[in-house]
Amino acid sequence: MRVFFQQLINGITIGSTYALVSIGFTMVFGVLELTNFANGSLYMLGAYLSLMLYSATGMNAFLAFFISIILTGGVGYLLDRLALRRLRNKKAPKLTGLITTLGMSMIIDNTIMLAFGSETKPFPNHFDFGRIEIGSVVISWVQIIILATALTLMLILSFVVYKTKIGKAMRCTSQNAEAARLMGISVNRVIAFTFIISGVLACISGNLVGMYYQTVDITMGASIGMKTFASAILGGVGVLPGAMVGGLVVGVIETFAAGYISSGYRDAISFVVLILVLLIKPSGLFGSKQINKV
Amino acid sequence: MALLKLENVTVNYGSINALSGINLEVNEGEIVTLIGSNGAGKSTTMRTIMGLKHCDGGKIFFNGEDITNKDTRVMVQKGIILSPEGRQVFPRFSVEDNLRMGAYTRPDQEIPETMEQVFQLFPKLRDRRKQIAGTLSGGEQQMLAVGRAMMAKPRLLLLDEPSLGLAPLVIKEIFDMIDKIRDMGTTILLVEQNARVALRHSDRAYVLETGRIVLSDTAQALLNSDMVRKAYLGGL
Repeated sequence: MRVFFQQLINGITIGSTYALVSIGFTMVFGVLELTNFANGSLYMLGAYLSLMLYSATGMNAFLAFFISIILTGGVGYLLDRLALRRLRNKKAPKLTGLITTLGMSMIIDNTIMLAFGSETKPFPNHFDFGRIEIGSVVISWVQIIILATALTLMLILSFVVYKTKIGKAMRCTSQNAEAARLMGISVNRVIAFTFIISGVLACISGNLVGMYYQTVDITMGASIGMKTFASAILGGVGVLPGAMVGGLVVGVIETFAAGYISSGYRDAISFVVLILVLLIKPSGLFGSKQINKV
Repeated sequence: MALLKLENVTVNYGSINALSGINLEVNEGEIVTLIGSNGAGKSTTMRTIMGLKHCDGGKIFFNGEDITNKDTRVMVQKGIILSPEGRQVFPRFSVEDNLRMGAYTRPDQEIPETMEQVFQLFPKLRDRRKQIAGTLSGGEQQMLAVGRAMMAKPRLLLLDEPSLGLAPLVIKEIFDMIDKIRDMGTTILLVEQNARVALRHSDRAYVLETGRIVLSDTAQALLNSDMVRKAYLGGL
């Protein structure tokens, strides 16, 4: 039982970081029906930016973290502003946007690799306050902080999406972008806002994971990319609670797979579960069938 | 001065010419109808007025002000609202939330009063205000689309095919509403394939054929015109 609870806690911790990235991914998909492959790169970029600011300038780690959030959000915005919006204005097919995000992802990954090298870098853990033992289960402070941050952000985002005006504009845009424009909603502004949020979330998550493992490397973006993809689809793509639960489920499954079976199978097993869930419920755990009646 | 004025408006889809220099006026308080067959350019006209489609030539004036190719949001703020073809309600929102989105550019505190007016216009929407819009019938969705447009308190209401796919009784109901909306002081530009009903409820009308206005007169005169009868009223 000790192993079970320990793995559960570890799984929830890592799953909550997947959930954060997934939320950004699913929100972009919701408003644009666009698979943003660059989302994982923003996660890696966010971690590297704060590491660079911290180690190169010696500034306060929290200030570095804060600046990296703003910068990554800005890069998220530029992704849309420089490329995707132009494609939308030209009425380019959806596939063009998808390839563009793939290209953006490579540009970000390669730039970071050229600037910092491809070796794994140590990442400082500023929340190394020790650990708490409950029975025989060990919870570290960094885990508690990751969970608390993720939970707080999820609550804030749910509030933004379901209760505020910009959130309602987002949900309108995701249902029918043209009708949203006819309501007087500035769809481009909604999309820009969505990209900024997804960048901010990816950055926060990247930093949390950096602190958790105390290392970062340039492939971390590609690996989280697959996981957010799986989380969002498992939960039902485009649905906020779906991304949250999907991320947690993927995190827990892969941790159990690694703990009980073999760490070599962790990704394979979580994808097997994903496929099984989709076979039973193709729209994902929280996804609903379209009810567009004409 | 006309409330809405289109001067020589030209619109192209790539190399295809959708509107070739149309002139059209709508005066304050009027119901004006645009009739024409499929592909004549009726919806394109509406979309161009709203800024959803780029106007490649000519000018559009609203209340004397040049609004050609302005952002759709600007049109909405100026009081031009389109209830689009195929209703386009937000299917996953409740009736009430759909209506609320119609008042997106207006202050929140004015919403309850306007919603009450819309419910008086369409009592059925009040009965179904918690229902998810995607599960409404076609006629109810059309009422919701018009109700949502009215939530913006338009000066000029553009209605694109409000009778599309509806039963005759429902069509009658919708057009009775349109009369009531005009009596409330809203000017209406209507696009219809159902020319007979539309003309009966309009003051004036334009006939559009392959991107050109070929005829314009009072609705009464067009109802009696041989050409319109043959082409659009089934020769009866």
